[in-house]
Amino acid sequence: MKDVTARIDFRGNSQAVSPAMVVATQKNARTALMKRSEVVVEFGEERWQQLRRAGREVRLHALTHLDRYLSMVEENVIAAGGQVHWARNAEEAHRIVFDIALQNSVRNIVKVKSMLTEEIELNHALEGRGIRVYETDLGEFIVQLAGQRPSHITAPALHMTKEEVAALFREKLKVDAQPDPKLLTEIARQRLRKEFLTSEMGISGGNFLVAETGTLILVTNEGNGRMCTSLPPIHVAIVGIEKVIPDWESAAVMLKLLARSVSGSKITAYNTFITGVRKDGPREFHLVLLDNGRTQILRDKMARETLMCIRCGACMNICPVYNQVGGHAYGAVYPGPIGSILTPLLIGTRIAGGLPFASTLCGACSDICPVMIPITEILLHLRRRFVEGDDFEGSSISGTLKAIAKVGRYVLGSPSLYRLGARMGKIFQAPLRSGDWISAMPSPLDRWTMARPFPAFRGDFRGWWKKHKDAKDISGGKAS
Amino acid sequence: MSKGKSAREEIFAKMRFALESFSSSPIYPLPASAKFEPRVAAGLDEEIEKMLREVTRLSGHALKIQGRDEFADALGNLVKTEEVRTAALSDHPRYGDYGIVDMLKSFGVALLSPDGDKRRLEDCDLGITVGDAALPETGSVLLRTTQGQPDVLSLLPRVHLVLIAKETLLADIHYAFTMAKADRHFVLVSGSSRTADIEKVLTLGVHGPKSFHLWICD
Repeated sequence: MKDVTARIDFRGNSQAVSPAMVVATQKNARTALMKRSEVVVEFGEERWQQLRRAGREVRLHALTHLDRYLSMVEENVIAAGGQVHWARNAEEAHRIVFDIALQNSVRNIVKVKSMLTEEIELNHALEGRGIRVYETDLGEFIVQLAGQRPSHITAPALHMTKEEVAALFREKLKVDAQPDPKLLTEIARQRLRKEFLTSEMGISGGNFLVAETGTLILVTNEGNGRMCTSLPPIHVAIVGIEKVIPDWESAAVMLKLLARSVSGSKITAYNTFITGVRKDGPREFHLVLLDNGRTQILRDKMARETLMCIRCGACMNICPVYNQVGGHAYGAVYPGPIGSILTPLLIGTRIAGGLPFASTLCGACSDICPVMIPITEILLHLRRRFVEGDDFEGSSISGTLKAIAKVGRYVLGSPSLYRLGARMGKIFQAPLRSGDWISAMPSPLDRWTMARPFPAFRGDFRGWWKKHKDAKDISGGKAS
Repeated sequence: MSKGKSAREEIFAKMRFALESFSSSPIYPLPASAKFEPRVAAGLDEEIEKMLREVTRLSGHALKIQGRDEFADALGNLVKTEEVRTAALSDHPRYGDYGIVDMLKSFGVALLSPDGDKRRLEDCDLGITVGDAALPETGSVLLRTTQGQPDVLSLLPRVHLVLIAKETLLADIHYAFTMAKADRHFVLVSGSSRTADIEKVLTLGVHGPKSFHLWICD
């Protein structure tokens, strides 16, 4: 694990969020959720819940037998003329892809949007080695041109207005771009057609791997997924080891859940099913199966269900926190509630331990999750890991804080020390107090007063209790 | 860690170690609770109506066509409204019955071969395919990739017309998978290529066809 990485400062990031970002995020979420509830009603609420339970069982079962199903995938892909590679981490995945590119003198690559390749920063690694990578999903193309990071896993450029996109196209593509989504889309179409037809390699992720036949399922709306996997002579698919499902019956269940949860469509425009190499398709098919921390998550009984995620983004759309700050505040590839558990599990609480605290624990994410991941429970588990440490990671809080907590426990546990402390508080607050409030406290207590004033110690409950315990009007407070 | 081990060995070792703690008696194969009853079809007429409705909802153009004359009219219309000058078609035997090739020629449309150089399809106005199955539930068409009906035929041309026989309507995606799962490649197509990536405005024709036509023929 990398040790010299700055901690993700959710609080700081969220303060830098522009109001426009919040508006765009909420608009996106509202549209997706409204359409989602319409298709769920049409599907039948009760049937939908049955479908969710089935989806959960499929994913849980696949994880329980992950080794067996991955062996099946490997065997079937090889039998169908494909090649299978295993990567322990991002660097190994980079090397595998780069080696394939090198052997085939690849200079240009067209790419389908994939969260996994964002996770391992593949584009960066390839471009560092002199290979051009073109993101071909419209939103991802925009984000790549702008040198940014996606703000939502299924709507990467939702934070940009059409005016911003037009300005970006004018600057980077040197074209006359008007702020009209249709015209802008046409520009991207023209621009990328050429790359689809001439690039020597296509890279995709994968939504599912069907073990029964070794089939890669790819779900896209724009058609770029089909272009990237049909036109270039080499197709490399990079897929996390958790993406496997047992058979085609489960594929039907998962696809019914996925499109409805993503955007409220009954189905995505294009579902592509690729098994190894075919006549007239790419002459080589490579499947790169990536661990990158997933086997470690699998070991954690409390957190392993995180791996059931099918990346639909519904938890983001419903999340009250995400809707106030947008995706970039999470400072990592996976934002929102799922990001708050997945990111610390992948890169450690030392870096991402703040994220599980960026939640109200309202539970809306678990309620909407198509495969019923207990996100709130895992958030609590990771908060505990951050503070106390567990079998997987040590505690991430400072020794000073821990010492203060220890002293606090001792003082609060003893009536006489508690009483003494309460009296001292009243005395020490005097220089800070103005009226009923303390507006600024010294560090580290200023973390509180940076956001809001602290109420001054005024009353004395014990004294009050002594005076009133025999009186009749004690209960209501309204009588006095 | 174990430097000698290959990545594959190490990943499997880690997986197996993690899975030991999963459950003392894991169920295999897939339990019944992971299954979901497929949808049951309504009557044929109702299913056809649903198919037409769903395709329209996906901003596609759907028609029910009876007989050769109606077909010729519809094709003439399509050629005119979509300004089709070149077309490529699948080698499916169904075309013989209708004589589409002659019809297109009579409308002054030049024909391209669907296989061979993929780049040529790029300049093609219309790609005509035959659906192997249709799913009224979602308005989807199953296209099994063959040499005479390559994937790019329904992808590169500006307009995509797919012909569907009534008998190929299936109640649930599950049955489409049963039909095609042994294939090396197939696609489910539902409407035209679309995006809402800029300000949530639905835009058709990003990378694939800009317009999608589906005709249910008898």
